[in-house]
Amino acid sequence: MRKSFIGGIALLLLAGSVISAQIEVDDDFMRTVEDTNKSLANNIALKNVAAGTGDAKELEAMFAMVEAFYAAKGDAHDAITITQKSKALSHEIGSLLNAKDFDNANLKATDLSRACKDCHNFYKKS
Amino acid sequence: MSINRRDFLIRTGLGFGRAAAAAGFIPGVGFIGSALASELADPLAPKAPHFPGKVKSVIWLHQNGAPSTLDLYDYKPELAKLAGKEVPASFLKGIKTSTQGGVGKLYVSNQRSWNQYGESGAWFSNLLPNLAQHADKLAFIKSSVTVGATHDISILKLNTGDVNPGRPSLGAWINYALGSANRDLPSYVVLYNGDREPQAGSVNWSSGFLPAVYQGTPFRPGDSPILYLERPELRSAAQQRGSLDLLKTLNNLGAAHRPEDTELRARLQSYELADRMQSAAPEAVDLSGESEATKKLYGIDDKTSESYGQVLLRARRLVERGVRFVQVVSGHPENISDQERRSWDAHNDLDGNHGVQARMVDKPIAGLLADLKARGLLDTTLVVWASEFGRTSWGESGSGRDHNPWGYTQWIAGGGVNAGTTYGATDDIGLQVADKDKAVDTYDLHATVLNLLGLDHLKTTFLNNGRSERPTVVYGKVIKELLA
Repeated sequence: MRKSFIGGIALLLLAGSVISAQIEVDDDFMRTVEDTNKSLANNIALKNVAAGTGDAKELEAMFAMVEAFYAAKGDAHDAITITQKSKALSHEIGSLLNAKDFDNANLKATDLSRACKDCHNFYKKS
Repeated sequence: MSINRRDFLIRTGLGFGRAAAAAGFIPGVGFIGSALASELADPLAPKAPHFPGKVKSVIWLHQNGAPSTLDLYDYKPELAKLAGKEVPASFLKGIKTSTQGGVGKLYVSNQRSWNQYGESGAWFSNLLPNLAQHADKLAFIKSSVTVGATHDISILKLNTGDVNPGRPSLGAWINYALGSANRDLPSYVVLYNGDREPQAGSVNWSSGFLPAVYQGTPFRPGDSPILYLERPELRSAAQQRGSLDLLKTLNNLGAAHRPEDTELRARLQSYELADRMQSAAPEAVDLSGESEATKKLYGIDDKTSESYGQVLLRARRLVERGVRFVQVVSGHPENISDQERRSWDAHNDLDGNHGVQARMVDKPIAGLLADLKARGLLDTTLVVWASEFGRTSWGESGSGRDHNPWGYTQWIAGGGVNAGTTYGATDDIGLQVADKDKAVDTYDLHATVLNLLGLDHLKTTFLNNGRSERPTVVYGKVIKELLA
């Protein structure tokens, strides 16, 4: 299920930002991001490199979709900035995990959670 | 010696079982590490912190009902200028104002006056004249934020880091991570003043998914902190010891078959703890030996501050005896029948409500800080003023304020604290945190408290259903500017 989800993301990314922009960033999608983020924190704590890097890659791909979504929507400069930061953090966490630097991966994962929270502070459901 | 087939199987089977149990085998779970096995045997054994801690104990002063820190610490001249006017739209950007009372006109009480105190020049209102004398002992967090705008949910977040029940409280995590420093007393005690347990309930001192032995023990106000703690007159100490020994033997037999049952372990510990507490707890909370000067220092000579003063004096005595975490929930003075004044929740008549509540806590907290300092305990104790949220800059019902999770003040004092400083700020009307990068959420406060105890919040972990859990969930940042 998870593999097919990642595969789906990869295909959509390949199809280009125009298609990605049409993806609905809805509650279900954001819940998947949240669950993956929790899984990442767990796998860093358990020092599970394979699962942790998998989560980090998945998050990086999902943040790319969020970025494309807000770029297409317009008037969402804060969201794009925070999503770009989150994407970079996901990539960095993956690299830190591959280098088995779990302490710094943990710190960066906390920064990533904070970035998620910042974005939700800007964009509250009314 | 003859031995039949049945005896042989039983003896070898039991022998294997014992060996397996000693090696940490749990039926249905598998083998557990030796450290965890020893924790199951003695979960409250003292444990080393991750690095040398600055403090040994925490006194967590939860101001129940959410005081208006705009009327206590966060002086806003601009708010006074704009009082009576609509909230300028620029101040409302980015917040969802669906709190019960809606957005009213900006409000300032005409009974409020402000002064600066100490070398730090910290602002205090006329509601806290005694605490103001300790300005230079405090490190203010004027950029506190949280989630939610209802008391029970935000209180839960304040104590456990989550808005859903089921996670351990901060005190339980500390109890789990450091163990007990005094085996005659619970190492996590909950105190409150008033005639009933705190409104948000025991979920706020729960051990959540941690073993039950780490949960907080509430002490009732008055002479008998724990119900039925005293031994009945008809039973001698020797008889009681005999009964407990038998019970312990029987329970240990049961526990050997169910090593994963933490509730049973907690119950075993609690019987023994109760036995030891029969002498230790009444002595720890007995204030009769305290001097009149000390009682006066805590405001025990004043009807309004008497009950809270007694509670804080007990908190000092508990910390003195090695209790790790004392969670104090503010209630109300005796003989207060007005429901509106039984907590800080001033939706109307803020002056009347805060007049009572501030007078209830001002002298006792000032007395606690002075007393801890005089006894050399302030260096090893952390005192935290915390609340579930603050209150709005706009008025409600003409004379009150609504709930505000977007920007309010908390403070810490004690060992390792960068005293006499202020971290963060709210905007010009005290509604929202001015600089979002400096927002301090409950997770950040928890991470900072843990750091002062020598615990890295990222490494304080517990494996629950295959998931590594920590006190700060997936968040948490130590606010280094608050540390000396």
